[in-house]
Amino acid sequence: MANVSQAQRTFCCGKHQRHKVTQYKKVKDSLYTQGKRRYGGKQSGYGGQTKPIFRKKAKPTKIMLRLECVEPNCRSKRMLAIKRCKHPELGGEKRKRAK
Amino acid sequence: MAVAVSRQGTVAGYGMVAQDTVEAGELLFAVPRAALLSPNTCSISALLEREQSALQSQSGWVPLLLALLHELQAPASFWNPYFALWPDLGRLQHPMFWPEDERRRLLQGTGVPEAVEKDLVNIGSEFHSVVLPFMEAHPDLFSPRVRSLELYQQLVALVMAYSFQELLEEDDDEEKEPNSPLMVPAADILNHIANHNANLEFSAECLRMVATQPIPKGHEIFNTYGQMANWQLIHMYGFVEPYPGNTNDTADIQMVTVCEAALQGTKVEAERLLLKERWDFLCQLEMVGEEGAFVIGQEEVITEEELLTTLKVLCMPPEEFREFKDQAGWEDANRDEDGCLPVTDIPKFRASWRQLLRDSVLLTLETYATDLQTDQDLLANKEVHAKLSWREQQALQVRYGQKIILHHLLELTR
Repeated sequence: MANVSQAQRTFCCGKHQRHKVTQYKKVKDSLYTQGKRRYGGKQSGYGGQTKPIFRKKAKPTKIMLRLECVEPNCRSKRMLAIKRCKHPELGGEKRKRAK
Repeated sequence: MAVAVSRQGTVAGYGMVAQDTVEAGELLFAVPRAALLSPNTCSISALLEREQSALQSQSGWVPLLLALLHELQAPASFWNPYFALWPDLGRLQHPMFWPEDERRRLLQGTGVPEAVEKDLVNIGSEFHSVVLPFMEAHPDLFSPRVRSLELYQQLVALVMAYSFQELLEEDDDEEKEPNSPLMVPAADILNHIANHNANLEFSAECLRMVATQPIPKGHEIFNTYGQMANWQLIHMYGFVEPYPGNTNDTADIQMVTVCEAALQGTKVEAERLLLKERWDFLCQLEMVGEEGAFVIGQEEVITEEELLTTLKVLCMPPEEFREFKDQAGWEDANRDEDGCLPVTDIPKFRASWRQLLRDSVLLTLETYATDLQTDQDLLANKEVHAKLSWREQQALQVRYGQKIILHHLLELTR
């Protein structure tokens, strides 16, 4: 399991700021939700998504984290990809080193 | 041969039937890449590639449609045997071919008439601005008989119903350009149901139709076109799954309708201004938009984050909203069970949320031409139902499925 702390210091607003870290929630697999989630856009109709061809995922996907600057006037958000891991855990207990 | 094309024992038209018992995971058939019909494989692929920037459009479907228009009029097209299996283009069932008044009357409130009208405008504009000029510039490749808007519209419907697209990668926050659709002979013969037993997989040398469940001998093999609600099935494919078969059916509540419901609860201008502020904030958070809708499934809310955030922001007391706005959600560290909102959680909502949701559902139900009871009566009376036209029967299923979900919400918000 990969542990990521819930508040991370990283660069923003010209200095190191605290950032709130959340795991970016993946859009569900459903083709349906791909459409309507993004304001009934192009997913149905002329130009929309048609019958799916599935790709088998050979390896676990990247984990996308969302960093949000806590500075109230900034609150800028950015995405950070961390290496693949099957079970990411936010703010879990630090694992003790094996002796 | 594990499978056979048949008109017998299939839900509609052609389908595929298992000749022997099939196990889950078993390969049903493979389609070599050379058999695919796409802008890259057709006989004018080099031209389409060269001209690709001139063929850009909102839909992104123009290159494939030009490939089809060319191959259809080519005397010795490689794909002639494939075209022989196509449905009659003059008999497609999509609502875009229904008379306008019939479509509007039968499907009012379902979202389909609006979607179709948008399609028709886009089809016309792309045909006249991009497709026809291109065909006229290359007359030797497109005989006069294919330079027809009517044919173009039929081919659009055919691409909607028969083409395939690779699923988009979900890794990115940004919305990627969707891959363009392509035609996959043999694979497109399979029909669809919610409880399907096969799907199409990508691999380097070919596309593979693989069983996802065991299939008894003689049973029809069903692909999945995606987790499609009936309104989407009728829009894109010209058919529906009759109740209660479509477990992927959904009802939409337009986001602006929730705002309208909240507006109904305001008495003075100051309250209306505050509501506008909350709505604008939700727009900034990208939780809502003028065109968007909350999507409710049979068992769960599909757009759970958007709905929860909206109810929360619209119902919270003014002081809490001021604070919330400043902190922009920094406080909501306790988001448990992200990504799942079963409808059974709705009775547990606080009263203000339930009331707003209820009022939104009531407003939505008013957009239909008839109430649930009327549709229920049509379905219950076998004699009357049998006299309905095919279109009337299909439209009834679209309306009914949505109204059932909305009425369920009414019960949950009592």
